[in-house]
Formats: sequence, structure tokens, C-alpha cells
Amino acid sequence: MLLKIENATTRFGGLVANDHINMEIEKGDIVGLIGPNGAGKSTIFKSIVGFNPLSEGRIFFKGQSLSGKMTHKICRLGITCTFQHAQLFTNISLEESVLMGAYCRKKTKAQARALALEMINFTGLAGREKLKISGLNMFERKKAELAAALATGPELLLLDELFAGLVPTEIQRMLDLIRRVHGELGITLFIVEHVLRVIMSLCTKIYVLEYGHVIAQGTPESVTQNPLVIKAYLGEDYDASRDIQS
Amino acid sequence: MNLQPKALAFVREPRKLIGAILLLSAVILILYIPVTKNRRLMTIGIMAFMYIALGESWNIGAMTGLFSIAHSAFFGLGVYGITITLTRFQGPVIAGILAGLILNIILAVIIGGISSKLSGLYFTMALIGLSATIYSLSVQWVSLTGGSSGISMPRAYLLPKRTLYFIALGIAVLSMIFYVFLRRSKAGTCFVTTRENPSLAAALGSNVPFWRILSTVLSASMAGLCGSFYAFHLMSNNSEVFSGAYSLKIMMVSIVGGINSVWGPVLGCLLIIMDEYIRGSMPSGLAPLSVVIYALILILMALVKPAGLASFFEKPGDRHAAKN
Ligand SMILES: Nc1ncnc2c1ncn2[C@@H]1O[C@H](COP(=O)(O)OP(=O)(O)O)[C@@H](O)[C@H]1O
Ligand SMILES: [Mg+2]
Repeated sequence: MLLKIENATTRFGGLVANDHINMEIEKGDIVGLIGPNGAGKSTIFKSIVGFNPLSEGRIFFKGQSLSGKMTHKICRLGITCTFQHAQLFTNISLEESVLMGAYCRKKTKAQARALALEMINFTGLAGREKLKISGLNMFERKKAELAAALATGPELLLLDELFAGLVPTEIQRMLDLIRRVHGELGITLFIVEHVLRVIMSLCTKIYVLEYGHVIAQGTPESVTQNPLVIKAYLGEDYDASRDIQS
Repeated sequence: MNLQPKALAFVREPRKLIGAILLLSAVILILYIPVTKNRRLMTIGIMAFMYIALGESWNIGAMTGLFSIAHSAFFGLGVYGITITLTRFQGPVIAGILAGLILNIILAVIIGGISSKLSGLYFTMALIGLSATIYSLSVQWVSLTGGSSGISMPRAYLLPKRTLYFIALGIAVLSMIFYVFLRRSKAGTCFVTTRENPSLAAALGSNVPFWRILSTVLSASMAGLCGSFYAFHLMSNNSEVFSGAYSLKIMMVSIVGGINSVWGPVLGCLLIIMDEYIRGSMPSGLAPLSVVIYALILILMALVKPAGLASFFEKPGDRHAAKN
């Protein structure tokens, strides 16, 4: 098992953002995490990468406990994330942003730079290297964030609403890119997404969160037929067959 | 339009041409001054060179977003480190330089550590508190520091002006080379990403607290070395070196010149040259007024050209580019 979350609980004062959550991710999976706003999806992501410590419970990566580990150490172990609200190095070039990620595994600048350029090409940003991040459009910024994350050489990549704010044609292109991240780079994915087409067409397993609890889990088919999920999140008129095929 | 790329590069980029001409004139002037044997000009040169190095040192702290408003603390420790070692302990020069360095590294580790824990206003207050403590110590610990009357270097260490001039020039050039080297290295990338977005940098595997401390240590060490040099220039040293006037001048050189550019302090030191000239010809009673002028210049610059003088010589979008 690649990632095992055991009874993860996070309290912010009186608010329980994550309440005894259990999740399992196998190597090679694409796991989805859905639920209404404020359900605690980003919170569990932040706990995995060490941004907020768990109040209770434990998280294991390849059998090793992550408790008390700092974010950069967790990245070294092979987990990184992209953030819900695109986090950027606004005033530095695309190349140097991705270079930052590449230094995670490469010692010399020449090696790191080669890897950075490879990831810039992989995400289809070739030719934009020298531009500052602030000079890129929304779609390019998201790809830049992805390229930097990929350059760290993760085994497990957490994507928090990577598709938010993209127009349909961009969603399709991003979807193809994410499939290549999984297929060509062999990276296990854990995805929070409101664009259901993305979740339904990519994921092998889905967890549904509501008020910090896991209310359902399973294949896209089983989850979309679960009355609890329909009531809490999908709505009565949701037609899963369309999204699963696309 | 299809201009020949190499030959006409200057025509397409007049900024570069102007920059090159200015640089060439500056080099000629710098080499000509010692020939004139004019002591006043050499003194101004020494001050300008030293502030270039101090500006580069400040800039290295600024790479991680450390806005050091009390840089004179590092500088002053360098001055006192060497002066005390030479006078009180009759140690060799190298021991004096090392003493200043060690004091600075200790202070920098404390400040770098605090900067990971405190942010914004609280960090600034901590910095002011630390530097005020050091200043008080330099005044109160009379047996070691000579109190408010200061402590003089032994006469044996009085160096010829011209020697000092060339040492200062060497320090300035080395500090510029070091800045460029650092900016292009892995450390430089880790520094600027820490400034831009520490959370993202950490998620990408950067040990943010470590880089914060390292940049503070490097910045402080450089300022301390400048102080060790300054002790030979000033000869009769006193706690003035810890004063806010020095901090303000260092910030002025860096900010007016342009943060995040190796040429920033070079342009910023024009203010030091101006300052030295004016103070040399002003009644000494008016000297405190100069602080008011620095503050005004800083405010004016922030309003008119926040990116600093160096930005006149850059194409828009040139800043911070990771060159190879
Ligand atoms: N740092 C924090 N401090 C206090 N409350 C927080 C913090 N982060 C998240 N929360 C709260 O926890 C709940 C879950 O938030 P989040 O995990 O961001 O939800 P989601 O990503 O599912 O929309 C929300 O009510 C949010 O306001
Ligand atoms: Mg969220």
C-alpha cells in the first residue's frame, strides 16, 4: 500500500474539519476525493504533505509514519501537491520555478536544469521558459505548477482542484496531460475536483466527504448510485453515464 | 524589420549602450583617482566601495525576503570584533576578522531562526530589540569596548590611503561576483523561492528555514567583513557604527539602486558619493540633518521608481531571470 490514512482527525478550535478519516491508496491508483465546499478535502491534503498537523490519527507512506515530518522531507519521500488556490512564484521565471522542484532530486544545476526543461516540455510549455510566472495565462500557470510538482519526481501527486477555472477545451487538454502523468510517468494520483467529468473519467476509486466524514467510497459507478452521495453532493438529476465515458 | 543581430544590438537596445559607456567611464575614473593622490577623492572612493559591498550583502538577505532594517548591527560587530582583538588581546588580524565573523554568524542564526517563527511587524521589532541590545552593550561594557568614547586601533595598523582604496575596491568587486554566483546557484533559487512563496517552496522540497538562516548568515558575514575593513579606515572606532544612520544608508544604497540586481548597490552608491561630498563641505553641526535627507530620498524613490535605479537599464521582464 502506498498511502494509508488512519483515523485522521483535524480540529480548528471547535470545528472538526476531518473526523476519523480512513483512506487507502495503492500504487498506480487514481483516487478521487469529492464533496461539498468546506467538507474538509483540502484539509486532509494539507495534513498529508505536512502543512497542518493531525489532532489525532496517523498517515503512513509506504509503511512509514509521516507524523511530525516537515513538508520538504515529505516531498523528498515522494509526495507533493498542487494547491487549490494556485500558488506561484510570481516574480521569477517559469524555468526557475520548475528548477526549484528539480533540485529536490538533482544535485547539480546542469542536471536539475535538464530535468526542469524536460518537465516544461512535458506540460507543453516549451518556449515560455524565460517568461515570469506573472506573464503566463491561467491555463499556463496551472501547467507551470504541475511542471514544478512533477520535477520533484513524486510517487504520489495530490492535485487540489487543478481544473478549477479552466474552460472546457482546456479541461480536455489538462485531462489528456494528467492521463500522461499517470501513464507515462507512472505517478499515483489523488485528486480533489468539482469538475465531475474529470473525476468520473479518471478515477478507479472515489471517496466522498461531507462535514469531515467519509460518507461513501468505491468505484465511480457505485458512488454515483449511493443515495447519500446524491443527496449530499451530486443532486437528483445527475447523470453519471455521460461523465464516466468522456 | 530584420536588423543584423550582433552588430546592431546596441542600436536596438540603447539602454545597454548607455550602461556600457557609464561602466567604462566609471572604471577609468576608479583607476585614475589613486594616480591623483587626492586623499579626499580616495576617501570618497573607499566609502563608495564599502557601501557597494554592504549593499550586496543587504541584497543577499533580501533574496529570501529578509528586510534587514538593522544591518549596522552586523557591520558594527565586524568593526568591534577586530578592534577589540587587536587592542585588548594583541591578536593577529586574521583572529580579529574571525572574531567578527563568529559573532555575526551567531547573531545571524538567531535572527534567521526568529524570521521563521515571527513575521512582519513582530520580526522587525525583534530585530530592533536585538540591535539596540548590542548598541547598549557597546556603550556599557566599558572595560571591553571603551564605552561611548570608543576604542582605537593600534597605530601600527595605520595603512596608506591608497592601500585602503584598493582593498576596498577588491571587497566591492568580490562582493558583486559573489552575489552573481549565489543568485545563479541552487542556493539563489532556494532563496528567491522562499521570498516569493515559502509554502510552495516547501511543497517542492525546499528546506525553507535552512535557506532563511543561510541567507542571513551570508548577508551578516559580508557586512561583518566590511566592518572589519572599516576599522582600519576609521582607526578610532566608537559605537556610532551600530547606529541607525549606517543601517539607513545601507538600505538606501540597496533600495534606491534596486533590490535583486547586482548593479543596484553600484548605482545606489552614487548617493554615498553625494553624501560624502556634501558632508565634507557642510558645517558639522548640520550632520544629523543628513538622516532626514536619506529618509526623504527613500520615500521619494519608493513613490517614483520602486524597482530602483538599476531598472532603468533593464528591459521590462528582465528581472530575476535565471541566467546560466
Ligand atoms: N487553517 C484553518 N483554520 C481554521 N479553519 C480552517 C482552516 N482551514 C480550513 N478550515 C475550515 O475547515 C473546513 C474544511 O475546509 P477545507 O478542507 O478547505 O474544505 P474543502 O477543501 O473541502 O472545501 C472549513 O469549514 C474551513 O473553514
Ligand atoms: Mg478545498
